[in-house]
Amino acid sequence: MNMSTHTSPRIGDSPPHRPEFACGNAIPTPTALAALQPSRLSTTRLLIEQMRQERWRITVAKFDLDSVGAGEAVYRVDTGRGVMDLVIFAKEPKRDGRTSRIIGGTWDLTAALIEGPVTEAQISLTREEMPKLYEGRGCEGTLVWCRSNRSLRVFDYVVAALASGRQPSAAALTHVGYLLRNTGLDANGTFGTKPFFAYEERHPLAAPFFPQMLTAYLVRQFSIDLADHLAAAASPETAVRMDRNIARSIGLGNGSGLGLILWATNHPRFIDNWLSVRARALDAARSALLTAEHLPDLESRLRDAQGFRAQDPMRYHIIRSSAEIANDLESILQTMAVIVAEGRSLSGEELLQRLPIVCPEALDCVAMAILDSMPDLVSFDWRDLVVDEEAAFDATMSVATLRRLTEQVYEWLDEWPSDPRDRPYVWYRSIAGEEPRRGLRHEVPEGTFDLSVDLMAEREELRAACATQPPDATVGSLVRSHPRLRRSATRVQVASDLTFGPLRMDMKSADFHPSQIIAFINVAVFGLARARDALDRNILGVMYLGAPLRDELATTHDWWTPAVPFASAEWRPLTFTGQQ
Amino acid sequence: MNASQERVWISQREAGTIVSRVLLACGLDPGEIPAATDAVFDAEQAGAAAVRLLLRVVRENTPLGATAAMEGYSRNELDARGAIGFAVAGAVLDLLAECDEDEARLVVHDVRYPEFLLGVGYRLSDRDIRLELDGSTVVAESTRRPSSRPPRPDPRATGYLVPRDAWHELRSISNRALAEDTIVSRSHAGATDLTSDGVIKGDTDDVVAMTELEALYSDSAQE
Repeated sequence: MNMSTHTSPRIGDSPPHRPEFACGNAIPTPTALAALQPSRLSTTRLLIEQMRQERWRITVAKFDLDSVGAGEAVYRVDTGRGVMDLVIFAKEPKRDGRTSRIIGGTWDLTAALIEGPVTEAQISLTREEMPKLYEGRGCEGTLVWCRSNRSLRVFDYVVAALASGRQPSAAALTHVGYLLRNTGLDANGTFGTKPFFAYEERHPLAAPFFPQMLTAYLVRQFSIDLADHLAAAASPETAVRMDRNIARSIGLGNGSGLGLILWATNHPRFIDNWLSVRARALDAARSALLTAEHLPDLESRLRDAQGFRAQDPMRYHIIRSSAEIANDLESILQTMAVIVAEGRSLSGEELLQRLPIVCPEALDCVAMAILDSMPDLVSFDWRDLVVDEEAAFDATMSVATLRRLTEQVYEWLDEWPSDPRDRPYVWYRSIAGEEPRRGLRHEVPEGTFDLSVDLMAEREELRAACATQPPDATVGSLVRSHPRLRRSATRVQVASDLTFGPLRMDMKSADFHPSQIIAFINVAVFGLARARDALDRNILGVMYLGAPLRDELATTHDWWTPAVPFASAEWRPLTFTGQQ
Repeated sequence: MNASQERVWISQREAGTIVSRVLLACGLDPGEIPAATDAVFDAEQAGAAAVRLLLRVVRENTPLGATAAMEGYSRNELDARGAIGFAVAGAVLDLLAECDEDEARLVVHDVRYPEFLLGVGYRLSDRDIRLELDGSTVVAESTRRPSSRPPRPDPRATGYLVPRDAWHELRSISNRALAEDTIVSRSHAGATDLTSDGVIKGDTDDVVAMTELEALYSDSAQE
């Protein structure tokens, strides 16, 4: 399927007549955002599509690992506009000090994405600096530093299966979904990496999160190659290479925590812009004319989505389960069968109206599948996603205006409990790995600085301060009298310019489920699959599940709802040479 | 080059993170920290050696607290009441921005470390700002016209070159804004199942019933 970028109107050409980022949803509540599904606008899909369209070539420039997987490798990406190298340092796993959290101190793999071709001096410097982590600095041209661990549950099993001449059980792999799990992707200035604003205009990764997502893609490919290598090393006579269908069903594990909530509070414009672009896409889907020729393709996509959800073995708690979504998609498919049989054209809106009452996740699957089914309807460009978060304080605004805006942008807070007993949480960062944490006030260490954005308190303080000033006084004068209100007033000014307003979350509230916002960013923005919640503050998911392997980028499409694979009959004997 | 002359490149993101934490640890009100952080690095870019200056402020060990109301000011005069320059920079910028006249003169009294104000001109593109420091008094003369100062490179792209030794000390001080890692606090993110000494129990790469997987492996062996 071809996603055209030159003949169709670009998203952003015309304003939406009904700005809803999801069917029936124009209000960014955590629940509404958590229901958004992956789409063509998700970063992983945007990157794969860019790689496909521009025919990026990925080769293994170096693969020097021993029989336990210790050593170095270099994966080279030729984008046609420059070369980037992922320099990988792998070692044998150790049980001690191992954790999937950011506080971990030992990793099976560290790697750096560097503008290449890398020199030996750059590799040497990176080898020296990466273990220092917070005290270390990337060499010039470093885009990302990352860390990963092997899955303790399946990695050894997969290697053992391959070494013995068998393919690993697809069912077992489905329960985990990955061989390596990401425990950190640091870019955009951290550890001396190149800041996003320093990327040249034509830089192939000058899009939000593309450097991190390319790194994740390459690590996922390395995980498959590593398993093949270890199997061959363990048993050269009997080992087989991993079947491609099974390899494709392996993603990169990922766990996201509370840090994304702090990130969201600091990136209101990015999120609002992302939702606005999505709203325009949804508008296009609703306006689309679905002809009798389009409908079977749409039905087929929904059947794939239903199957993907039905085969998801994960357990969900706050986030809606795949089983429930699969059931609703099944209901939708029954209606779709009737519509297809009618053999007439209808609009996207008419189609959505005819569907049975289903959960918002299933409805969103339909809307996003319309966009997939009609690639010429709209085109996406990463440039639509670039925003400037620098908040400029407007000192010349009148106090009366600030007062009115404060009431407008925070009106929704009236629906949240205001009793301090219902708002018991403190957010903070631990000295251990700077890990963001959220705990009950009486449980946090004494002297802890509360990093939560307390919008309720900010609103009250602004109300009280505004009441002391003449309405025509400037906000500048208000802030000279109350210097501590500068940030609160700036936040209101920024929020008042947003299409959807601030995210409607009270970080201190016991009613707030952090996992919902974390899921939104992981699933809808990044495009992770099987993203389930744990302890209401982590989202565990898989990146690039079903994505094309490095030598399939030009030929594989529509990869995001893969069925659980069964190994193909044509198993090839493993002939691993160390160079590919 | 001796140790005190060595410089290290830091990104704007790192600069903001570390200095915000330093100011938080020193007690500056969180509502003032973003503007104060900007002032520190604007001044650094203006050649005021603001990173070293910040270290001096921190070593004084005087809690900063919330900046007092800057009352008794007029359009042309501001009494900073002993506030440190980085806490006054926002107010100075506001007064200059609020000024309707083509030419204006603002006198700021009683500023500690007024050098932190030397970079305010970067933030007003439509005004040419000239600053004079005289003890604790700062005089800002402003003319409505594009700035005569050469445009600075975008710090979001270029970051900053700062003295290595001062930066490392500030980095260390910034850790005071981070919370102690207690056993209870470890359960405030991720796993809640910990041993008595805080080690996370169970499988560390995910949470799943191993018995189910073992059964699947057995099935696989029969495939």
